[in-house]
Amino acid sequence: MTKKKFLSELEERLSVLSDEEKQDIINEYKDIIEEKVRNGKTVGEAINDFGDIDELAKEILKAYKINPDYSQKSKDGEVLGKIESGIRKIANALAEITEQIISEVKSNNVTVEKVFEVVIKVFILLIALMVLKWPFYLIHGIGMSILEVGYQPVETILFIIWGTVVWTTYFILSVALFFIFIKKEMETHNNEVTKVIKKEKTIVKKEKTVVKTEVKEKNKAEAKDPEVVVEKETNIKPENSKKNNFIPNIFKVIIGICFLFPLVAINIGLFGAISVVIYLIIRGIEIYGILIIIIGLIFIFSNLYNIFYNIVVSKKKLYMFPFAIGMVLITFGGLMSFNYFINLNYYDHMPDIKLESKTDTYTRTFENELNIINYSSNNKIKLVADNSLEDNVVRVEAKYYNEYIRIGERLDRDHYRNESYLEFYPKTKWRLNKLINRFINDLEKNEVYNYKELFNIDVTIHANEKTLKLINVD
Amino acid sequence: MNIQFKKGVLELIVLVSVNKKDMYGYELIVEVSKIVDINEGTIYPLLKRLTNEKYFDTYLTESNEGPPRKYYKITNLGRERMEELVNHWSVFSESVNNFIKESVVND
Repeated sequence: MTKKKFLSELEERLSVLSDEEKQDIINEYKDIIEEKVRNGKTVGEAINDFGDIDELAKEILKAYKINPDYSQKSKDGEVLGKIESGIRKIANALAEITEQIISEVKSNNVTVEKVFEVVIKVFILLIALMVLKWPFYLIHGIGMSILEVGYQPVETILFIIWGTVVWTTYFILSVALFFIFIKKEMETHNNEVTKVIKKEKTIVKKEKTVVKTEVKEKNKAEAKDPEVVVEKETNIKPENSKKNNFIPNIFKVIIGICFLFPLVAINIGLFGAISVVIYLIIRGIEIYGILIIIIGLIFIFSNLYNIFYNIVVSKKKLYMFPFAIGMVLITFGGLMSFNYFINLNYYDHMPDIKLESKTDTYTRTFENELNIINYSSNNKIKLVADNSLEDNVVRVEAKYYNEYIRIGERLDRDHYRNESYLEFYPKTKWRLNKLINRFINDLEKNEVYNYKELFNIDVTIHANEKTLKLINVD
Repeated sequence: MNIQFKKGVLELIVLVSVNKKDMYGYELIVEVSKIVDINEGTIYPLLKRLTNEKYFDTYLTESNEGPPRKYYKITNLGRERMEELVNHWSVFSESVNNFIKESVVND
């Protein structure tokens, strides 16, 4: 690191302080580095003596009684700033890693054992990421069951949003964990290297003291000797303190998964909802009340998120007023939309519209028994005898509204139970936008229909009488 | 020696050093490093804090080499603080030493 870079990075980390104070500190450090260079050190050595720049900045801020975590957050308050600093950090980390690897290889500090150690650790990390996927499956499943409103097209949209939110979060978390791992790995490695250097230093010191005793000052040499012993003790310390932190960390991870993640998901979901509402408003449906309600909810859930974030990560000031604002907005929005909802007519069926339907015909052969799996309770499954068909053969007719969906069909054999399964399920044709348009048109007329039927399939199964006995409908 | 231990004593050593004579940052590091081996990064924040708490005054003096240097000078408040810490330290170290002596004898 050059002097300029060090000073500018330090300045950036101290940005909460007034310009005057900052300049004072920067000048001081500049002077120290220059002084050291005059005394025969290189710039790099002089900077390395200060230790980790983040720690240094934290210590300085503590001298002003500023919570270092808080200052960093308020500094990068905006999302863009956060992303930018994140990217910069990643880039710096990568640059430092490569720099280090090159220098390590050059100085032969890398041993085969160390490489193996890292490989094994990466392997463990990958397993941990796989295990971490399970709670996400669980959350995904829970969310799906909550969002199962049985009312199209809203349900499909909710499912798509929820799936995207959950798996994007998992992906981001995995990447973040990976970077944390790399950073930790580098830090421990650095510590090892400095340990080696420190040991060398103490040996040099010992030699010096021996020389001194030969010259004159016996007492001083004795006073210094205990320090050498003490030095070795400090080297062991960090590992102990790490172990002590382990249990609260697990607790934090659990809170993070159980509370923080759902709260983040809810917030993202609310922003999704806001964009949907704004889209509807642009399309001419006057649901300003709902917009206000959602903004109120965002206030409340963001604040809840802040509270849990404080528990897990760090302490910053907590406010109660967002709750109050949120409640006021929800009440106000609720009153505003009250009329709207009263005027809204809900029909639990499809409107009387002419829809194009299509019938697919399949012939399938099965062994032993055939189970027809009913995808939806609204599906109609009819069995019809047709003795012109051979044994163990079925002719299936599936009728559906091909304007909006296509259907999937699957014949599976369970070799273990020696049975066959036949299943039909609707596949959206990516005609969802067409359905959404219909939904919005209905809303304009203050009508809401349930388009669930649209996804239903009428199945008629033909088989000869003997074969029909082998068919079970779930 | 435990890091926290060192940090605790550091304030005492810095106060005593500056009480002896006014010093500039680098000079202080050299002085303090003679007694405890500590990360330099922790000394400047300490100086900053002691200045903020009005234990030190600072002034600039031209130097023969390079830019003017910032010197630290102890204030009356700082001297009081130093005496308090020196007292604490003597009592503390004496009692610990006595305890160790007794324990060793008893062994």
